[in-house]
This record gives sequence, C-alpha cells and structure tokens, in this order.
Amino acid sequence: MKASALVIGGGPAGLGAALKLAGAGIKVYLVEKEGAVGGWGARYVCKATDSCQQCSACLIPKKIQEVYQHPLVEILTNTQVVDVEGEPGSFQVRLQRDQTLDPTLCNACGRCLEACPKAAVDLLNPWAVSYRIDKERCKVYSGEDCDLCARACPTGAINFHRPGASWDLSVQLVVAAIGHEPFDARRKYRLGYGRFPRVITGLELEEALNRIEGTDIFGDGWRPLDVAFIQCVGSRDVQEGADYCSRVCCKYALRLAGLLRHREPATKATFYYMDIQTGGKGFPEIYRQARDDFEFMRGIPARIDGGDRLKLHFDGVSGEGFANREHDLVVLSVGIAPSANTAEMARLLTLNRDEHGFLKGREGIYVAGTAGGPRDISESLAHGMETAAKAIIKLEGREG
Amino acid sequence: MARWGAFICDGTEVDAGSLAGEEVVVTTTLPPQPRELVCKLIGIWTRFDLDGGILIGAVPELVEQGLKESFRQAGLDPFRLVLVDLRGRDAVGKDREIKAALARARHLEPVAWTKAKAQQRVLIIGGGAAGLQTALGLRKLGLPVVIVEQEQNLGGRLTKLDGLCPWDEDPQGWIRSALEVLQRDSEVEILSASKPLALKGQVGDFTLEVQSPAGPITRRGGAVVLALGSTVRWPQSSGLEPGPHVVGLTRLDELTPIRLHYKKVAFLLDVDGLGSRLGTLSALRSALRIKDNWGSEVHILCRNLKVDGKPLESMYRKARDRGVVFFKYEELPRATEQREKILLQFKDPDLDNVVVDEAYDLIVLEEEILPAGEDLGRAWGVLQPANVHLYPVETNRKGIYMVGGCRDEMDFPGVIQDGTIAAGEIGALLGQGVLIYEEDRVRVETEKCVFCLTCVRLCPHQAAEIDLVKEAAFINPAACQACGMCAADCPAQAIDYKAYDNEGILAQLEMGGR
Ligand SMILES: Cc1cc2nc3c(=O)[nH]c(=O)nc-3n(C[C@H](O)[C@H](O)[C@H](O)COP(=O)(O)OP(=O)(O)OC[C@H]3O[C@@H](n4cnc5c(N)ncnc54)[C@H](O)[C@@H]3O)c2cc1C
Ligand SMILES: Cc1cc2nc3c(=O)[nH]c(=O)nc-3n(C[C@H](O)[C@H](O)[C@H](O)COP(=O)(O)OP(=O)(O)OC[C@H]3O[C@@H](n4cnc5c(N)ncnc54)[C@H](O)[C@@H]3O)c2cc1C
Ligand code: SF4
Ligand code: SF4
Repeated sequence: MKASALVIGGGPAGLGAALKLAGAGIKVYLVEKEGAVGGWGARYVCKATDSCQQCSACLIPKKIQEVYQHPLVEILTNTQVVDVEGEPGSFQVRLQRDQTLDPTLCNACGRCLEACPKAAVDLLNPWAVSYRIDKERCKVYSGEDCDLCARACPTGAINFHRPGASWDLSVQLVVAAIGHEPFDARRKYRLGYGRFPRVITGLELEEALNRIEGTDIFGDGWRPLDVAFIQCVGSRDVQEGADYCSRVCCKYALRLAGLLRHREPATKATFYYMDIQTGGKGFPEIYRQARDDFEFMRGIPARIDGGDRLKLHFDGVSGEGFANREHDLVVLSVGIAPSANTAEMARLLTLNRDEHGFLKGREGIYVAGTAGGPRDISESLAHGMETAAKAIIKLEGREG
Repeated sequence: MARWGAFICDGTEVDAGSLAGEEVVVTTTLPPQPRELVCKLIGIWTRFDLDGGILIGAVPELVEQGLKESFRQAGLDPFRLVLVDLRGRDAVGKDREIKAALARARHLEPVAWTKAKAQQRVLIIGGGAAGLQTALGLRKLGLPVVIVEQEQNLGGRLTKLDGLCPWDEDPQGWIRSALEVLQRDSEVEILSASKPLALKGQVGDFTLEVQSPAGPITRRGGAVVLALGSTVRWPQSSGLEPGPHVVGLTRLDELTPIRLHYKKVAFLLDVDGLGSRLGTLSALRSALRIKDNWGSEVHILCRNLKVDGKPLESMYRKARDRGVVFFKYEELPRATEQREKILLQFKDPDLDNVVVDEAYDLIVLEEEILPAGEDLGRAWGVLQPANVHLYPVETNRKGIYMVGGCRDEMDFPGVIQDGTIAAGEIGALLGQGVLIYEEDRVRVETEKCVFCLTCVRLCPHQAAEIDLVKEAAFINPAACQACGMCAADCPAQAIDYKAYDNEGILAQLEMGGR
C-alpha cells in the first residue's frame, strides 16, 4: 500500500496514530508546532511511590522513541499546517517550518543554553532530542539584537537569518491530534492564582516534582507540609462553558498527593471536591488508600486569600469544619479545555466543534485524543490507535 | 572468528586505539538523530557483514530499546548489538566498560529466525457489541471469523437496556445492522447457544473446543478475542434483599417500559463506595424513563456521582432540571420496611448533616459490576496485567486479546473503540499469513532439566510447556516473549537465555563492567 497520512500534533494521541498507521505501511508526516513531540504528558512526573501508580507518564518517552525509530514516520517539529485543500482520499497540504534552529544539526550539547542571557533556549521536555527557542523569552523575537546562542553552537544549528521553509504534500488522510489546553486558572480570579505565589496549578506541581527529587517545589528550601487540592477548576462549571467533567484531574491530584507524601511523609493533604471520580482500572485501590491518608471535604472554596498561610472561604457551604480553613500550599486541579488553536484548525480543516468547543471529525479527517474531548494519556493513545485502525480499514477495506 | 564492529560516538573521547588488536571495524562519526543513526549502523552492519556490534557513547535506555527494535525490523539480531553507556565515566572507567562489553559480546551466539504459517481465521468468544465490532473490522480487512456466543441471540447487554442515552449512534440499531451484515457473510461462522471448552496452541495456530447444540466441535484460528462482557453482583453490604420494593439496576430495564405505579422511587448508588460510571449512567437514564413513563418522584442517593464520561455531566443537569433530586451520603442509609414502603434514613453533608427520613415505594440498588469470564481467563492463563505499557486490548498471551466490558468499565463508544483497535492489531499480526519469531532465544537444556516445572508455573506468557516424552520442560518459541523470568528462577539453571547467558555475564563482570 502506497498511502500517506498527515498527523497534526505529537502528543500521545498523535504518537499512537502515527505508530499504527506506519505499522500498516503508510507513510506518516507527523507535524508538531513545538520544538519537540510528546505533548503535555511529556512534562509529567512519574507518580510511583513504592509501587507503580499507573499514571501512564512513562508511556510517552517509550512512544516518542518508537516513532523516532520508525522508518515510515517523518517527524517535522517547529512546523505548522497553513493550508488544506482537497477531499477524502486526496488532500493537498501546505506546511510551514521555522528553521531558526535546525533539529537535524542540533545534538543537544547545551552550549546555546550556557550562552543565552535569557535562558530562552531549552529542552521542551526531558525527552526532546534537540533544543528549541522559546519565542516568549528570546530577545530576537521582541526586536532586540542578539546572536549569542548562534555563535556558541558548534554545529551551526542556530541561525536567525535562515529563512523558514514552506512546502506542499499530498496525503490520503489527516489526523487532527492537536490536544488540549490546561484550563487557564487566571480566569478564576477569586481563587488567587497569579496573585499568591503559593497558589499553583496541578500542571505546575507535575512539572516541579518532575524537576526535583524532594518536595522543595519552588527551589528555595521551603517544603509544603499542608496542601489543599481544589478539584474541578474549570470543569463542571457552566459559567466557564465547561459543563463536563475533565476525567483526569481527580486521578492526577490523588496520585500527586500520594507522591508528595511518599517523598515527605509528614505532608498532609486535603481535597476540596464535589464528587471524586473513582473509576478506571486500578484506581479504586488508590482512592481507598487516599481516603485513609488524606482529608476529604465536600465543598469548593469561593475565594482564597492570605500570604504564607492561605485562607479558604466558602459560600453557601455551612457544613462542619468549613470555618477557618488554612493551608500552606493550594493546588488548583485544572481541567482539560479545548486547545487554543481549535477554532483556527476547525476552519482550516472544515471541521465542526461540539457544544464544549472540542473538534468533531469528518470523512477523511479524523480527530484523536483530547482534541475531541477529555481523555487521559492511555485513553488518548488508544484513541489514536482506533483512529489509525479506522483509517486502515477504510483504505484496505473491501467496502471502500 | 566472528566479525564485530565498534561504533564510537563523537564526543565520548574514547581512544579508538584501545580497541587495537581486536577483530573489529571501527567507525567514529555517528549522526545524533536516532533514525539516521539506525540507518548508518544497519548500513555498516550489512556492508561489512558483521556478526555483532558494540555501540559506545551516550546511549540512554530510551535509545537502546529503540535501536534494538529497529534492528529486529531490519532482520538483524538485536541481541547482538551491545550498548555501552559511557555517561559519567572517567577515562579508566570508560576503558573498563568497553573491554567488559567486548568480553560479553564474544559469548553471544546467533539466534535463528523462523517463519511459520499463521491461520487467518480469528476466534471471537462473546457476541456482544465488542465482539461484533471486532468481527466487522476483521472482515473489512479480509480475515474470516468465528463467533461463539453462549446465548441463543447475539447482541449482549445493550439489547436488554431500555431508553439508552443519546450517543451519536443508537446502540440497538447499530447491533441490528451489524448482525445483518455478519449473517449475510459466508466467511463469518456464528455458533450461538455454544460455550467454549478448551483452548490449545499458540499465536498463529490456536484450537478451540466448543460445546455446540450439535455436540462438541473444534475450530482453528490464528488469534483469539475474548469479548465476554460483564456480570453483576448484588451488594450484600447494603443490607437489602431483592423483593417487591427493592430491585437491582439491571432488573429495572425490564420494568421501565411497563406502566407501573410506584409514586416515589429512590436510586441507591455507590453502596460499597466504588460505584461505577456505568451505574450513574444507567441511573440517570432510568430516572428520566421513570419520570416519563410512571410520573414518579425520583431521588438519587450516592456518595460520589460518577460524571467522568462524555454525556454524564449534562445528563445530570438535565435530570436536575427535570426535578430529579440528588442526595449525598457518607454513611450507608438505614433501611426499614414500613407498610408497603421502605424507609431510608441518612445524613446529607450538603444539608448540614440533618437526618433525612424518606419513605419510598421502590428502591433501585446499583449492583457491583464485575468482568465476566474470569474463570475462562484463569483456565487459559489469560490476564491483563496492570502494566501501562501494554496496548489496551493486549493480554499477557501473544495472539489473545480482550475487548469491551470484560476488560474495563465501558460504555458503547468505548466498546466500539476497543473492537476497532483489536481488529487493527490482529490485521497487522495475521494479515501477511506468516509469523516471524526467534527460534531458540530461550531454550531448555533437556539434560540439565530436573522436571520441576518451575518455569511452567512462572512463565507469564504460557510459553513453557511440558514434554512428557523427554521428561523435560520445553519453551514454545512462538509464544515466548523473551522476558527471562524462567531463566532467572530455574533451580537447575537449565534454561539458556541467549542475550543474557551466564558465561557472557560472568565475562563482563570479570572485566569490571556494570
Ligand atoms: C494538569 C494535568 C495533569 C495531567 N496528568 C495526567 C496523568 O498523570 N496521567 C494521565 O494519563 N493524564 C494526565 N493528564 C491528561 C493528559 O495531559 C492528556 O491525556 C494528554 O496530554 C492528551 O494527549 P493529546 O495527544 O490528546 O494532547 P496533547 O498532550 O495536548 O498534545 C497535543 C500536541 O499537539 C501539538 N499541536 C497542537 N496544535 C498543533 C498544530 N496546529 N500543529 C501542530 N501541532 C500542534 C501540541 O504542541 C502538542 O504537542 C493531565 C492533564 C492535566 C491538565
Ligand atoms: C448495569 C449496567 C448498565 C449499563 N448501562 C449502559 C448505558 O446506559 N449505556 C451504555 O452505552 N452502556 C451501558 N452499559 C454498558 C454496556 O452494557 C456495555 O458497554 C456493553 O454491553 C459491552 O459490550 P460487550 O460486548 O463488551 O459485552 P456484553 O454486551 O455483555 O456482551 C458479552 C457477550 O458475551 C457472551 N458471553 C459471555 N461469556 C461467554 C462465554 N463463556 N461463552 C460464550 N459467550 C459468552 C454473553 O452472553 C454476551 O452476549 C451498562 C452496563 C452495565 C453493567
Ligand atoms: S505509570 Fe506512572 S507511576 Fe507507573 S512507572 Fe509509569 S510514570 Fe511511574
Ligand atoms: S475529574 Fe474530578 S476534578 Fe476533574 S472535573 Fe471531574 S470531578 Fe472535577
């Protein structure tokens, strides 16, 4: 079979789809807008305590490595899809690549990072095979002159004058695996995120614990011992247009609390919640253990303020124990929101969106992973595999 | 003498001279990108007709596994690629690592590859939605199937539910049209009112014995799919017994289509604290049915409402808007019978823990949902280990898959996803009609075997078998996944595992390697 496919997005869903399509002999162009594949999950911490907690974070490096080894997968990082035309079975796609940093020349030696005054070159995630330039921090992108990194690079991988590349491809099918955005906690002004340094998101806790071995999450020697997790931030929330459960945040929050406690046994944790989602393979045991180890309070704070000790205020929750709730770290369990470029991609690919803003597929254009709605890592991977199987059955299928 | 290559990465500062006098081909410039690296290695390998090679440099585990897989795909023996990770070693250390690796490499023997013909037919056990979707997918890929169903009618649990929730596709309509397609197809054999008895063989060639209405029959196939669905168990801890005023959630589907006169109905969910999302889904859908058909007042009592699936949160809101009342409890409500009614007494933490007393005409209890066919799984040694690296429908046994309700709590879209994935996986496995596997990577040295059968008990993949004639264990190469468990635990050290044979490891240790 001489077919080819475009997979947009290199998160678990895109990786799963790419691997299975390539496994069936289909040439795959895996397009990733960032400098490395892996998606959000590549930044998460392994939540194993004395035993594996089945969070699936370790699945991602394994899949990254598999796509890198697969002769039929062409990985195009720093690349965007800018135009799509045609019909199922024959799409013409225009791609555009930023070539300031050429990943085929970069051997991740790290000299650019040493040279950069802004720490604007880094590895996007621990599994990245080349560095990337963070445009938000790099001086060049805010109009200043600087080429320290380019001069430090021994292989000439960085060149601010190298023009971008643009080229066309023909493919039979497209998989949109553009993923999600963690809910922007700033939208919940009253919960104090962005105003109080000790109010952080679940994503920040994931990343911090991934970076360090202990629980010194801010790198200043202070360790949280009394942590509050606020569930459903940006989920089950009609005001935010998110009257859905994000499926993943109860699970990651309970596992992260377990990990904090494993690293520092004196850590206490309290969950403020509406309903804990206990389903899924292996999770009932984790929940049962958490009920023994942690405090569970049914009620979501309406407002948080304070300084080193954060005060939680509740409206309309009058139950026992809700007065004077204080903690020294608040973790907002942010949910899964549609990716920021969903509207743009829907236009480009002529796709509809569901009532919550997630993409819906159409003939020849498949939607995989959290691009289509909340899923965890292994579910996103499975969804990518299903997408690939559907496409293969369609291509090889006797019923056309 | 075997020919070996040494591949030294740039920047490792290894002196190629340290390999002087060894029978090796040395290359030094290696591309940093894994894929180009693989191409280059394989190129050199074939050009110099090497028997094995050592890759020296910064080779994290991530790269190692990938390289080996690519070698396997290129038809080269991945186990004869020895990787030396020099990160964090000083000059002396580096030298020692390299010498040790060479020592071990010399003990590696080549592994033979075998091609075996694979049966194309696929044996599907269970004719619910999961089994049907797997069958449809396989048929489109051109593979013939046999479906074994214990009941007279196919379709499984979804055909028995009343008032299903609004998926993109109506499950019952879907099942009807799936059955139509499959029944017309001459390459689909449907054995209904039949039960599987025994399964023999391994991937590529299984034999299934079936008790059919016409008596015992056998069918051969290259892969087996378990699509057994789920069963339910009455939650004893509830203290309630089924009766005129108490039914299980699954029985309720038989009642909701009929006009009945229960004025006030309570759903008691989450009895053991681990209620499932299917229970919540079922309760919400039935609550709306009851409102429509019986006009009753409906309460739903639970600890945690399970809303972590696509339509659940909006169904929950819809139910609330329709007047369904939700209560939360921490301690299980106390039930007492009272003149044709059941009185429930409980404390709702959201209501300041005041004691609520309500009398109901009907209590609907959420049963515990359990995977079906655990007995079959046990008998055939099939399980889905808690290993996140297994693809969703894989099991511990090569060529045996698990789909649908028997592997996880799953709604209709989930079941369709599973069936599609399984069809894709099996298509890739059997589509070519041949299986390729390593002939004797793991082998029992018959003369050393004391016939204790430790390996037969230990092998997680059911690859260790008993050879009664030789009175020794035997490793079935088609089923073996080279995990090494048997070799590690054999008390007589009779199992030879080629990549990790004892002499090679001893040689490596002698040279001071890790
Ligand atoms: C705080 C938090 C913690 C979590 N913890 C866990 C956990 O412990 N375990 C777990 O299983 N799940 C967890 N999840 C869920 C997990 O993040 C998702 O299931 C997973 O990342 C989804 O994978 P995906 O491939 O759908 O999308 P993503 O991970 O979002 O990947 C999408 C990829 O597509 C790229 N992309 C987007 N748009 C374009 C475009 N136009 N062109 C090219 N590329 C594009 C992005 O750069 C990205 O690399 C967590 C989620 C959150 C919010
Ligand atoms: C209480 C409850 C409520 C639910 N409510 C909903 C709902 O509202 N909406 C929804 O979408 N989903 C619901 N579901 C889920 C839905 O029932 C399942 O997703 C679906 O039935 C799973 O399909 P399956 O093919 O895996 O299993 P099943 O439909 O259970 O089919 C399994 C088949 O295998 C056969 N079988 C079992 N063992 C053997 C054997 N040894 N030999 C031969 N045949 C065998 C059985 O007879 C059966 O026909 C509910 C599930 C439960 C338990
Ligand atoms: S599943 Fe999660 S907890 Fe288990 S090993 Fe992988 S990363 Fe660690
Ligand atoms: S998973 Fe938990 S925290 Fe996340 S939205 Fe659902 S109920 Fe809320």
